[in-house]
Amino acid sequence: MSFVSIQFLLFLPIVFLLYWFVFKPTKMQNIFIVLSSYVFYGWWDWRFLLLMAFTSICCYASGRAIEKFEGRNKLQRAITAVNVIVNLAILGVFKYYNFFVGNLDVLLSSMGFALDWPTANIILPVGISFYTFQAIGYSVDVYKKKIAASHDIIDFFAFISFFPQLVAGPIERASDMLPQFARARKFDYASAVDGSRQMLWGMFKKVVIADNCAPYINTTWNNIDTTSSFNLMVVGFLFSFQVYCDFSGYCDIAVGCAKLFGFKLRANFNYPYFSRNIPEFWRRWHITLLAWFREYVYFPLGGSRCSKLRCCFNTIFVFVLSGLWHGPDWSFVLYGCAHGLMCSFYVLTGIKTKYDHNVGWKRVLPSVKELLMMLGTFTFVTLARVMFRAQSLGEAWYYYKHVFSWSVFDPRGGVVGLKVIPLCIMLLVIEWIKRDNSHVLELNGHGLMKHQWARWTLYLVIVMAIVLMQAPQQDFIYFQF
Amino acid sequence: MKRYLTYVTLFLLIVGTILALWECFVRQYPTSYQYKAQWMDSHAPGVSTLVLGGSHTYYGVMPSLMGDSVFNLANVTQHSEIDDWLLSHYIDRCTNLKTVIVPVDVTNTFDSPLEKSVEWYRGTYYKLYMGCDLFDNNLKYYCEISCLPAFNRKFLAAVQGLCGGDTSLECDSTGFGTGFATPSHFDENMMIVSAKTAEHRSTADSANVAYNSQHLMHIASMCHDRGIRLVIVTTPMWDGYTSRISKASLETVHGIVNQCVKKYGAVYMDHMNDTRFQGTDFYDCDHLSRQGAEKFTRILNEQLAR
Repeated sequence: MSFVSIQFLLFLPIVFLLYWFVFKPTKMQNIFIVLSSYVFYGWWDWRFLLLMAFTSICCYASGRAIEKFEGRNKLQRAITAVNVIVNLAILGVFKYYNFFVGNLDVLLSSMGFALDWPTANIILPVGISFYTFQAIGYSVDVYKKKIAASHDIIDFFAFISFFPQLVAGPIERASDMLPQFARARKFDYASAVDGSRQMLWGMFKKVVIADNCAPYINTTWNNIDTTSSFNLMVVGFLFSFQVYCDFSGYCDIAVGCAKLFGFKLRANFNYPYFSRNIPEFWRRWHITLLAWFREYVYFPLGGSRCSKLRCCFNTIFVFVLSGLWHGPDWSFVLYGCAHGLMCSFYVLTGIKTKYDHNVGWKRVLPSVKELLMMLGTFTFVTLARVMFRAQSLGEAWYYYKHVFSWSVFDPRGGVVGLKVIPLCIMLLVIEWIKRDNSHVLELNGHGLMKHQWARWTLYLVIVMAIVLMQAPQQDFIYFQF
Repeated sequence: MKRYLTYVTLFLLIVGTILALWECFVRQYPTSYQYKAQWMDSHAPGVSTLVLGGSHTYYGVMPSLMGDSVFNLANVTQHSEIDDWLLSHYIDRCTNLKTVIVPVDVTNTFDSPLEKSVEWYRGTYYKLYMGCDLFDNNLKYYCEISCLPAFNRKFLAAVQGLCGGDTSLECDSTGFGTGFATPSHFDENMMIVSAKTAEHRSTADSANVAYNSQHLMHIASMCHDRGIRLVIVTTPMWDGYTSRISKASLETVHGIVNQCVKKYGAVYMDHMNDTRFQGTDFYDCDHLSRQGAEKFTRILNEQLAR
């Protein structure tokens, strides 16, 4: 079930009340989390549950086996490898089978061989990439002795299936989550209030901004050949806001929801559009995915402790993989490649990409230099994201051809999305003001917000905006990954 | 925990109360949908000609010039599935129905289902006031305040009403849309801009062609089975607009119409390029002004009489 559905609005309070009032012992709470998570996930298709349960059993068993064969390194390595291969194979079959068969067919045909493998009509289980990566991370961590193998199958199942972050992240580390499942949890008023506020802001971003941008973007992309260059550019920027509000909105709801149950999830976003360069952008955007790739791919390849050329290769390789993670399409590969090349540029030139402070530190407005850097980064991200949105490479090429022409400066023929552009600007202004907080509605009780009436008025305004400004509901974009 | 639950409950109560009061306030003011449903419920047996379709016929066909038993059941952005539903809903009650007029053009042939369009919120009116069961059980179709664009207009009308202003329905007693008055001057530049925009809109997603065609065929078969004459019209459009419509789009439209004519004996009256309509006959590039609607209705009436 989706976070923005009537079902979830009923599901959440029921689970919340049962969790704190009926299933009081930690063990029972964990069992209840597993049951609730399986109901939550099975709402899409009960058959997906079998796959998730299989992944959970494989990883749990491999962890126990690695522990059992302590001292027999080769055997431990083999168990880990088998487990990783099994999980990647599941992901490969469900997500990449048709892509590889199709491309292999093209390749072999060009060499004069005929491949007669049929493509399959496979339904992609929602969020499979997220929980598979989480499960693989656990297995590798156990092998590397970063964590002890879980002895409690309920805790482990709860870790893999925890419903707030099950279908679109954040991708959690076992070392962060398993101890939270093991220890007794106590309701914390401040944390619950903060979680509720974060959920509210996440809903606002998703329902009010992302869903309202969607019709303009979809219509334009469906009619790309009749849209003016100027509007193509506008829609490119709108898509950046749609993806951000859609995905970060989901993550805000997930993190906030977890707080209601006494859990702390990692932040997945940190005001990414205020990044001054691309490497900084990737430290602020989908943080947990890049952290996963850094930990399990980039570092084993040598990371940055090698020659600059090797480091560039590692960087590009990781970004290509992260692009492919999004879906089986060459446009995703190119999307990752573009970001990888940009990050490699910083590696080669040695230009500083890390800063001691947030942008505009202790200032109301950014400096001109910072503003230009942010605009440049945002423009690059927006242009790269065209490959993310286009249905094919041809469509992306058409877009670039028209946006990089003089006609892009000609706004005659109207401007699409005039109703949502003010919303996007408003979002940027609010985020700029709150950029030093973990989320926009983190109210620290200073100024006007120390008064309860002011806080409640703010909540009411947001709720009313969600109710009054909702657009046709769209699935969360990252569900498809 | 007790404190948290108390505050959450209190907050939800406040939200619920505000929304309920707001909903009650706007529901007091009538809509054309409500009016048309009530009119059809009480006058259906006497109707001889029924006009369906979206804004092109809503603002383009004036039943008052066609006789007493003609009613305009069209409305803004009334997509094909709604036309189909409305006719299915009323056809057996309209015991004297002789003619059904339905528009087909490059806009409604390529329109997406209402539920997926930018004007999805109009579905709420069909559900609330006309009993239309085409939409899912999403909460947004049960309350007017979830339809911001429509709510804003209605709210302003309601406030104007409180201040003694005009709160008219936007349609006359025969269902004709009164919102498009004759423009004071004909601005060709404005028309070119709107033509470009409309051109993009009209060629929206070709995947919807089969969907809309299927509903038109269903309308045609219902009429055919009951011996009712189906008249398909394409209303006059400004030549600056029609010249921008692609040949492929027009061929698609004509293909569907021809199928309907051949299979169900429908009559097609194509006025898209009617040169009798110029300048101030248009409200914008593809809608008639009141003056144009009068002219068009008289021409249509003559054709129907023949």
